[in-house]
Amino acid sequence: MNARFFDNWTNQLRKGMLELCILNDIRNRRMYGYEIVRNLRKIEGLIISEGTIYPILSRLKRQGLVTTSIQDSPEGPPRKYYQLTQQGKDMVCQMNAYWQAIRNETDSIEKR
Amino acid sequence: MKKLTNSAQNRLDKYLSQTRTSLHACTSVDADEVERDIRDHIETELQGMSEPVSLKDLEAVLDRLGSPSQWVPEEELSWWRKIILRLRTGPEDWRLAYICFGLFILAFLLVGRLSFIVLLLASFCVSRAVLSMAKEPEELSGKKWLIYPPLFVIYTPVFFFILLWPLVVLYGLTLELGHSGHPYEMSMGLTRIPYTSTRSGGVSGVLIALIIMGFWWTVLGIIGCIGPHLFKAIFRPFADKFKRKWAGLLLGIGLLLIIVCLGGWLLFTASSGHFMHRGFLRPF
Repeated sequence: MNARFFDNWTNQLRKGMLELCILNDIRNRRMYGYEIVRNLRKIEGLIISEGTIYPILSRLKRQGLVTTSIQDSPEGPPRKYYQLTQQGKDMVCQMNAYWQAIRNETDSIEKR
Repeated sequence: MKKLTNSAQNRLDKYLSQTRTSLHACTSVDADEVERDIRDHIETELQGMSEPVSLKDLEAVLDRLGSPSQWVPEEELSWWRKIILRLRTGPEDWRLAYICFGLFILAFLLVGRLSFIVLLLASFCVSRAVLSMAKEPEELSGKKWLIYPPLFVIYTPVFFFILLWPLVVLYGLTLELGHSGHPYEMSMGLTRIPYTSTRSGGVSGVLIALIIMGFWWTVLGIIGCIGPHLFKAIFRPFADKFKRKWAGLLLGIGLLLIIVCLGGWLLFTASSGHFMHRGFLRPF
């Protein structure tokens, strides 16, 4: 029962965090899909299956938060690079501020 | 693209084809773009591996990548498309769950015919297959609602039969002896057991039946204590939390039943003999 509760909770948390992490990952420079997966893979428990990243990137693109560009790669086929739009940059700032506020409040409750 | 072995190439083609089929119903996602993403991802993952890449190595990459159906943005699909999509392209366990529920419904539409039993058993077998595919009960999630009904319908009579079959046998035995299924005739049948009289037959019969039941529950309790996995395997997943102490409880009840009923039966036959001696009751 406790394990199931924890699983549900982490699933919900992961869904929201994944978008925030992807947007933050490409915040300062453009990246190709696999590079984002590789970076996020380092955060333990964040990614269950790597294929979930691409549909999120695709959705972010449809929502106008991200743009893509194709560029040749010396190591193989041309790569698709993802980059934040201005709207995406504004959104990630807003999301970070919200997350920071939540985290501070959570910490203060925990320390009480 | 890196060179793959034939089996690995077939596996990749199948994965891509499943992804394309999944995306067929989806208008907002470009299937070509998704395929390019998948190919790029796999290509980068396989860098540094010796050619041709084996099926095992590719399988590891695809496992990390996840199911082909996850590329579809579910929020964009209507509920009926979700169901059709799961039937057509979903993971095998979901398809099986839908087939299981379909067979179950069909069985009840044909109730009263032989096909009812056949379809119900087929539905039961499919639901057990779904259970076998789930490594953990948590993996079943929403599939429970599709696979539990046939399990419940089959398990319930099986459970009561395992628990109470001696009564069924005794009923048959008394039918044989009493030539009738009437309760009075049944008790008369039991009176044929030595040391019981016609009048006391009913009570003695019930006591003997309870002793036999007690004996069977004791055996069942011992089996449960020795191998609780047997019960878990038969009644999976409802008995997943079956514990030895429950088998011990059944064993205790069985022993108690034997002691109490045997004592009662001995006392009763002794007192009946006393009455017979006095001529109140005629011996059988």
